[in-house]
Amino acid sequence: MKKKNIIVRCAADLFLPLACVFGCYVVFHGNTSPGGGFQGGVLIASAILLVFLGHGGSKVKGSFSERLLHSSETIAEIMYVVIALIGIFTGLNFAVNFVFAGHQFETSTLMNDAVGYHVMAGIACLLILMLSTLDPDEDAANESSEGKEADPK
Amino acid sequence: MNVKKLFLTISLVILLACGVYAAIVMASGDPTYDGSETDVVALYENPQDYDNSKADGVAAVIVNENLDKTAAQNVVFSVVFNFRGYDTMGESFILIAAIAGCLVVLRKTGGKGEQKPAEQKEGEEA
Repeated sequence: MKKKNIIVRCAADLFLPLACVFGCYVVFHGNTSPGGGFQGGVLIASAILLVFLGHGGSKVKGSFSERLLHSSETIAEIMYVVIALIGIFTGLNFAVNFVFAGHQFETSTLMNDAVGYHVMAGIACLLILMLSTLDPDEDAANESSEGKEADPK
Repeated sequence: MNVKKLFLTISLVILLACGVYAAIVMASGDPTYDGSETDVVALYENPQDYDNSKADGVAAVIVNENLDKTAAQNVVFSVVFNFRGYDTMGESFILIAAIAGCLVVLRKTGGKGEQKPAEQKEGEEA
Protein backbone atom coordinates (compact mmCIF):
# COMPACT_ATOMS: atom_id res chain seq x y z
CA MET A 1 0.00 0.00 0.00
CA LYS A 2 1.21 3.48 -0.83
CA LYS A 3 2.13 5.22 2.40
CA LYS A 4 0.91 8.69 3.24
CA ASN A 5 3.15 11.68 3.74
CA ILE A 6 5.35 11.36 6.83
CA ILE A 7 4.21 14.73 8.18
CA VAL A 8 0.57 13.65 8.08
CA ARG A 9 1.39 10.30 9.65
CA CYS A 10 3.42 11.79 12.51
CA ALA A 11 0.83 14.50 13.18
CA ALA A 12 -1.92 11.87 13.35
CA ASP A 13 0.13 9.71 15.72
CA LEU A 14 0.87 12.77 17.86
CA PHE A 15 -2.70 13.98 18.20
CA LEU A 16 -4.36 10.56 18.54
CA PRO A 17 -3.66 10.07 22.30
CA LEU A 18 -4.36 13.74 22.95
CA ALA A 19 -7.82 13.43 21.39
CA CYS A 20 -8.59 10.28 23.37
CA VAL A 21 -7.39 11.74 26.69
CA PHE A 22 -9.22 15.02 26.18
CA GLY A 23 -12.43 13.18 25.29
CA CYS A 24 -12.14 11.02 28.42
CA TYR A 25 -11.55 14.18 30.47
CA VAL A 26 -14.69 15.81 29.09
CA VAL A 27 -16.75 12.68 29.79
CA PHE A 28 -15.53 12.08 33.35
CA HIS A 29 -15.76 15.75 34.36
CA GLY A 30 -19.20 16.22 32.87
CA ASN A 31 -20.82 16.52 36.31
CA THR A 32 -18.88 19.63 37.31
CA SER A 33 -17.89 21.35 34.08
CA PRO A 34 -19.39 22.10 30.67
CA GLY A 35 -19.48 19.17 28.33
CA GLY A 36 -20.73 15.74 29.31
CA GLY A 37 -21.39 12.40 27.75
CA PHE A 38 -22.54 13.48 24.32
CA GLN A 39 -19.75 15.92 23.55
CA GLY A 40 -16.97 13.83 25.08
CA GLY A 41 -18.11 10.74 23.22
CA VAL A 42 -17.88 12.55 19.91
CA LEU A 43 -14.39 13.78 20.84
CA ILE A 44 -13.21 10.22 21.54
CA ALA A 45 -14.77 8.99 18.29
CA SER A 46 -12.82 11.60 16.34
CA ALA A 47 -9.74 9.43 16.90
CA ILE A 48 -10.99 7.25 14.05
CA LEU A 49 -10.80 10.22 11.70
CA LEU A 50 -7.17 10.76 12.77
CA VAL A 51 -6.38 7.11 12.01
CA PHE A 52 -8.03 7.50 8.62
CA LEU A 53 -6.11 10.68 7.81
CA GLY A 54 -2.78 9.23 8.84
CA HIS A 55 -2.95 5.60 7.77
CA GLY A 56 -5.76 5.21 5.27
CA GLY A 57 -9.06 3.39 5.18
CA SER A 58 -7.67 -0.16 5.25
CA LYS A 59 -6.03 0.45 8.65
CA VAL A 60 -9.35 1.72 9.98
CA LYS A 61 -11.08 -1.46 8.83
CA GLY A 62 -8.36 -3.59 10.37
CA SER A 63 -8.14 -1.75 13.68
CA PHE A 64 -11.77 -1.33 14.71
CA SER A 65 -14.56 -3.88 14.81
CA GLU A 66 -17.78 -2.35 13.58
CA ARG A 67 -19.96 -5.16 14.94
CA LEU A 68 -18.40 -4.92 18.41
CA LEU A 69 -18.96 -1.15 18.47
CA HIS A 70 -22.59 -1.54 17.44
CA SER A 71 -23.27 -4.10 20.15
CA SER A 72 -21.45 -2.11 22.83
CA GLU A 73 -23.70 0.82 21.97
CA THR A 74 -26.70 -1.28 22.95
CA ILE A 75 -24.92 -2.45 26.10
CA ALA A 76 -24.34 1.19 27.10
CA GLU A 77 -28.01 1.99 26.59
CA ILE A 78 -28.96 -0.95 28.83
CA MET A 79 -26.49 0.37 31.44
CA TYR A 80 -28.19 3.77 31.36
CA VAL A 81 -31.69 2.35 31.78
CA VAL A 82 -30.65 -0.02 34.60
CA ILE A 83 -28.84 2.72 36.54
CA ALA A 84 -31.82 5.03 36.09
CA LEU A 85 -34.24 2.30 37.23
CA ILE A 86 -32.35 1.90 40.54
CA GLY A 87 -34.19 5.02 41.68
CA ILE A 88 -37.54 3.31 41.10
CA PHE A 89 -36.42 0.15 42.90
CA THR A 90 -35.50 2.20 45.98
CA GLY A 91 -38.94 3.81 46.07
CA LEU A 92 -38.14 7.11 44.37
CA ASN A 93 -38.65 8.51 40.89
CA PHE A 94 -36.97 7.57 37.62
CA ALA A 95 -33.39 8.80 37.24
CA VAL A 96 -33.28 10.27 40.75
CA ASN A 97 -30.22 10.15 42.97
CA PHE A 98 -30.73 7.47 45.62
CA VAL A 99 -27.60 8.42 47.54
CA PHE A 100 -29.01 11.42 49.27
CA ALA A 101 -27.65 14.84 50.06
CA GLY A 102 -24.42 15.21 51.96
CA HIS A 103 -22.55 12.86 49.65
CA GLN A 104 -20.52 14.04 46.69
CA PHE A 105 -21.27 10.86 44.76
CA GLU A 106 -24.35 10.79 42.59
CA THR A 107 -25.85 8.13 40.37
CA SER A 108 -26.24 10.53 37.46
CA THR A 109 -22.43 10.53 37.15
CA LEU A 110 -22.64 6.85 36.22
CA MET A 111 -25.45 7.68 33.79
CA ASN A 112 -23.21 10.33 32.27
CA ASP A 113 -20.44 7.75 31.78
CA ALA A 114 -22.92 5.35 30.18
CA VAL A 115 -24.05 8.05 27.76
CA GLY A 116 -20.42 8.84 26.92
CA TYR A 117 -19.73 5.17 26.18
CA HIS A 118 -22.88 4.97 24.10
CA VAL A 119 -22.15 8.05 21.98
CA MET A 120 -18.51 7.02 21.53
CA ALA A 121 -19.48 3.59 20.19
CA GLY A 122 -22.31 4.94 18.05
CA ILE A 123 -20.38 7.75 16.37
CA ALA A 124 -17.37 5.49 15.84
CA CYS A 125 -19.60 2.91 14.13
CA LEU A 126 -21.11 5.67 12.00
CA LEU A 127 -17.68 7.04 11.03
CA ILE A 128 -16.41 3.60 10.05
CA LEU A 129 -19.50 3.07 7.91
CA MET A 130 -19.12 6.42 6.17
CA LEU A 131 -15.37 6.02 5.61
CA SER A 132 -15.89 2.57 4.12
CA THR A 133 -18.01 4.11 1.37
CA LEU A 134 -15.48 6.85 0.60
CA ASP A 135 -12.98 5.15 -1.73
CA PRO A 136 -13.81 1.46 -2.00
CA ASP A 137 -12.22 1.02 -5.42
CA GLU A 138 -8.97 2.66 -4.41
CA ASP A 139 -8.67 0.52 -1.30
CA ALA A 140 -9.38 -2.63 -3.26
CA ALA A 141 -6.76 -1.64 -5.88
CA ASN A 142 -4.22 -0.94 -3.16
CA GLU A 143 -4.87 -4.25 -1.46
CA SER A 144 -4.62 -6.20 -4.72
CA SER A 145 -1.39 -4.42 -5.73
CA GLU A 146 -0.02 -5.08 -2.25
CA GLY A 147 -0.76 -8.77 -2.66
CA LYS A 148 0.98 -8.83 -6.05
CA GLU A 149 4.06 -7.18 -4.59
CA ALA A 150 4.15 -9.58 -1.67
CA ASP A 151 3.93 -12.72 -3.77
CA PRO A 152 7.35 -12.54 -5.51
CA LYS A 153 9.09 -11.85 -2.23
CA MET B 1 -57.13 -9.32 12.02
CA ASN B 2 -60.47 -8.31 13.47
CA VAL B 3 -59.38 -9.27 16.98
CA LYS B 4 -56.26 -7.18 16.57
CA LYS B 5 -58.28 -4.21 15.37
CA LEU B 6 -60.70 -4.65 18.26
CA PHE B 7 -57.88 -4.63 20.83
CA LEU B 8 -56.29 -1.63 19.11
CA THR B 9 -59.55 0.29 19.16
CA ILE B 10 -60.23 -0.52 22.81
CA SER B 11 -56.72 0.50 23.90
CA LEU B 12 -56.86 3.72 21.89
CA VAL B 13 -60.23 4.61 23.41
CA ILE B 14 -58.88 3.96 26.90
CA LEU B 15 -55.84 6.15 26.17
CA LEU B 16 -58.07 8.93 24.83
CA ALA B 17 -60.31 8.76 27.88
CA CYS B 18 -57.30 8.94 30.21
CA GLY B 19 -55.96 11.92 28.27
CA VAL B 20 -59.25 13.79 28.43
CA TYR B 21 -59.56 13.07 32.17
CA ALA B 22 -55.99 14.29 32.80
CA ALA B 23 -56.62 17.43 30.76
CA ILE B 24 -59.78 18.23 32.75
CA VAL B 25 -58.03 17.66 36.08
CA MET B 26 -55.03 19.77 35.09
CA ALA B 27 -57.24 22.59 33.80
CA SER B 28 -59.29 22.71 36.99
CA GLY B 29 -56.23 22.86 39.30
CA ASP B 30 -54.15 25.87 40.24
CA PRO B 31 -51.52 26.95 37.69
CA THR B 32 -47.96 26.09 38.68
CA TYR B 33 -46.56 29.28 37.20
CA ASP B 34 -48.39 32.54 36.60
CA GLY B 35 -45.48 34.98 36.53
CA SER B 36 -47.32 37.60 38.55
CA GLU B 37 -44.44 38.29 40.96
CA THR B 38 -41.69 38.29 38.35
CA ASP B 39 -40.18 41.71 37.58
CA VAL B 40 -38.62 41.17 34.18
CA VAL B 41 -37.19 44.69 33.89
CA ALA B 42 -35.34 44.48 37.21
CA LEU B 43 -34.06 41.00 36.35
CA TYR B 44 -32.69 42.25 33.02
CA GLU B 45 -31.10 45.39 34.38
CA ASN B 46 -29.43 43.90 37.44
CA PRO B 47 -29.48 40.10 37.41
CA GLN B 48 -27.05 39.63 40.29
CA ASP B 49 -29.08 41.53 42.89
CA TYR B 50 -32.44 40.16 41.81
CA ASP B 51 -34.36 38.48 44.62
CA ASN B 52 -35.64 35.16 43.33
CA SER B 53 -36.64 33.69 46.68
CA LYS B 54 -40.33 34.43 46.03
CA ALA B 55 -40.36 33.07 42.49
CA ASP B 56 -42.69 30.22 41.61
CA GLY B 57 -42.71 27.47 39.03
CA VAL B 58 -40.39 24.63 38.13
CA ALA B 59 -37.39 26.88 37.42
CA ALA B 60 -37.37 28.26 40.97
CA VAL B 61 -37.60 24.73 42.39
CA ILE B 62 -34.67 23.62 40.25
CA VAL B 63 -32.51 26.60 41.18
CA ASN B 64 -33.29 26.79 44.90
CA GLU B 65 -33.67 23.13 45.89
CA ASN B 66 -31.14 21.58 43.51
CA LEU B 67 -28.71 20.38 46.21
CA ASP B 68 -31.43 18.97 48.44
CA LYS B 69 -33.10 17.05 45.64
CA THR B 70 -30.20 15.70 43.58
CA ALA B 71 -26.89 16.43 45.40
CA ALA B 72 -25.50 17.50 42.03
CA GLN B 73 -22.88 20.25 41.95
CA ASN B 74 -23.92 21.60 38.56
CA VAL B 75 -27.45 22.75 37.88
CA VAL B 76 -27.27 22.07 34.15
CA PHE B 77 -26.03 18.54 34.79
CA SER B 78 -28.83 17.90 37.28
CA VAL B 79 -31.38 19.17 34.74
CA VAL B 80 -30.07 16.94 31.97
CA PHE B 81 -29.63 13.73 33.98
CA ASN B 82 -32.03 14.04 36.92
CA PHE B 83 -34.99 16.26 36.14
CA ARG B 84 -34.99 15.34 32.46
CA GLY B 85 -33.68 11.79 32.65
CA TYR B 86 -36.43 10.55 30.36
CA ASP B 87 -35.39 13.12 27.77
CA THR B 88 -31.78 11.94 27.74
CA MET B 89 -32.91 8.33 27.46
CA GLY B 90 -35.04 9.26 24.45
CA GLU B 91 -32.10 11.04 22.82
CA SER B 92 -30.00 7.91 23.24
CA PHE B 93 -32.68 5.77 21.61
CA ILE B 94 -32.90 8.27 18.75
CA LEU B 95 -29.14 7.87 18.24
CA ILE B 96 -29.51 4.08 18.18
CA ALA B 97 -32.31 4.34 15.60
CA ALA B 98 -30.30 6.73 13.41
CA ILE B 99 -27.21 4.52 13.42
CA ALA B 100 -29.27 1.40 12.70
CA GLY B 101 -30.73 3.22 9.68
CA CYS B 102 -27.25 4.18 8.48
CA LEU B 103 -26.18 0.54 8.89
CA VAL B 104 -29.02 -0.61 6.67
CA VAL B 105 -28.29 1.97 3.99
CA LEU B 106 -24.49 1.97 3.91
CA ARG B 107 -23.56 -1.64 4.55
CA LYS B 108 -24.47 -2.82 1.02
CA THR B 109 -21.66 -0.82 -0.59
CA GLY B 110 -18.91 -2.73 1.19
CA GLY B 111 -18.16 -5.05 -1.74
CA LYS B 112 -20.53 -7.75 -0.54
CA GLY B 113 -23.10 -6.84 -3.17
CA GLU B 114 -21.32 -8.92 -5.78
CA GLN B 115 -21.74 -12.10 -3.78
CA LYS B 116 -25.42 -11.76 -3.04
CA PRO B 117 -26.79 -12.19 -6.61
CA ALA B 118 -24.82 -15.42 -7.00
CA GLU B 119 -26.32 -16.80 -3.78
CA GLN B 120 -29.77 -15.84 -4.96
CA LYS B 121 -29.23 -17.59 -8.29
CA GLU B 122 -28.14 -20.72 -6.48
CA GLY B 123 -31.24 -20.55 -4.34
CA GLU B 124 -33.45 -20.17 -7.41
CA GLU B 125 -31.86 -23.14 -9.11
CA ALA B 126 -32.29 -25.30 -6.05
